[in-house]
Amino acid sequence: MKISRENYEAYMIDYLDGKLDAVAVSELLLFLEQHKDLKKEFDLLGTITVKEAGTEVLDKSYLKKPVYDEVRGEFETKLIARFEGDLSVKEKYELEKLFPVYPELETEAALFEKTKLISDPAIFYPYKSELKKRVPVLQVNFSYVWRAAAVVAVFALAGLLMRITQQNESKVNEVAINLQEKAKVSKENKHLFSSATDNKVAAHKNLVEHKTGFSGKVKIHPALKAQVPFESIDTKGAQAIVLNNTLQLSTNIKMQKVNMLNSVAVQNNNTDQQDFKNVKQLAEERLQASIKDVLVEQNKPTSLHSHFSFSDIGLLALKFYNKTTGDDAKVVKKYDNSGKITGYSIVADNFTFSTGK
Amino acid sequence: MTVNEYNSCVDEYADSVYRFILKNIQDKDRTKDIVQDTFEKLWIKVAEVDASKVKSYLFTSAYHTMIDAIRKEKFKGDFEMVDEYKHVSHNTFSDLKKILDMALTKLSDIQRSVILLRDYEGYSYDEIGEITGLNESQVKVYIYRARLVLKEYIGNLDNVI
Repeated sequence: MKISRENYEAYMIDYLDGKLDAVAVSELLLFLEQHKDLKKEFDLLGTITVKEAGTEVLDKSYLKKPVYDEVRGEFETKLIARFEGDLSVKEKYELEKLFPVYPELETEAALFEKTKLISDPAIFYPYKSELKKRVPVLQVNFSYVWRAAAVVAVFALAGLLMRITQQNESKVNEVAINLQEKAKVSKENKHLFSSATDNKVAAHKNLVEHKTGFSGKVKIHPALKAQVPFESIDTKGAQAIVLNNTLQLSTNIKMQKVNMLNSVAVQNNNTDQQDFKNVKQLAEERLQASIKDVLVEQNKPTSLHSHFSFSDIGLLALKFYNKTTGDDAKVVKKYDNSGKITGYSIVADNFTFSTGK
Repeated sequence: MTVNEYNSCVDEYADSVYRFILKNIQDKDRTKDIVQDTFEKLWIKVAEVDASKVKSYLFTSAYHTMIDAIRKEKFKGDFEMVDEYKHVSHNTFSDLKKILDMALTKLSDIQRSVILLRDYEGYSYDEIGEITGLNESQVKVYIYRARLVLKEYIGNLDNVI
């Protein structure tokens, strides 16, 4: 290799170290003569000497890592914190990063995992039934205010049902009275019918008089007279014809009335011969037939609030009672054999309150 | 809380309260008495206790009833003077649960209570503090010490199959 500006430094160092042979030395010196700038560098390099290393010892202890036993106490706390979930993600990561460095650390961590106590489901309390309390009828241990409120709610509901029943009763009575009145009218109309019959006889008598020329006194019933303007009839015969026609007309009218009254009488099951009790029963049956559910259909808002029926209020009261007492009371309808509603009951776990039959 | 809610509490919590007390005092008869007392106290206060907090109420009541019983009858030694490091075991066991049951008896009463509440019921330090009347830091210290005792008792993994 020939000396050049690219490799002259290696030659210089080898020369100073005495590693160049004679040929190489002569080549180097010739090169330096040809390059004066490099010769100055060469001369400067020759003045540099390196002192021999002293006997000072480097303190390497700070570079060393402690053995596990020396830091065990510190790590135990961290391991417990790790197990208890008290470490942040970063702290946990920093700790677990040391596991490969300190295998004992990982072993201890596994031991702490085993200290977790597990509840044994095989151990159970065998006397639970002794601890439980029965729900008493009215012996409920909540505050006096709530107890009082619950009692008021129950009585309000009971009163409500009684009122509904009374209203039902009054409707029955009303219908019964109406039917009784109709029965009286029926009797009066029967009297009229009798009068009409009498008139018919009289009219026939009149007609017979006309046909036979017999002149007798004919009585005209005022009711018939009111319907027929007798005074406007001039001739006796015409009067008789008109009378006959009128009689026929009157009879038809009366018969229609009689038929109607008979119909009523039949419907009323001969109410004129029944006592009031039977009439009341009949009215009740008719009322029951016309109302399917008194609570829902018939007792629409009458008080308290225009948007709530008594049944709504009753159910609200019942819900309030249930909520307060924890009971599960319900309203139950009672029916007779024909399926008609005959009454209502509040049925709870420990008591029953009934109205109606 | 209604009667029905109270009865539901019996179904739901009587077992866990029973286990908690039994593990603490290791006496079934006394445990039964304490559980009965605890639920009687709840029944007396049934109108005042919020259903959502009844579990905490039961454990608090059970814990204090147990402490009273321990103090009254000197059922155990000095309440907080157990040296947790003197019960280190190096025995070999085949059942970790049995080891832990034995290790539990080596804890101080307060350590045992807090760690049972922690592990059995999963309560936080704060909740345990409310039950036991300790502050959060004290609870944490007791639990850490209890863990150390249990860990030392278990020995090392080679002793546990």
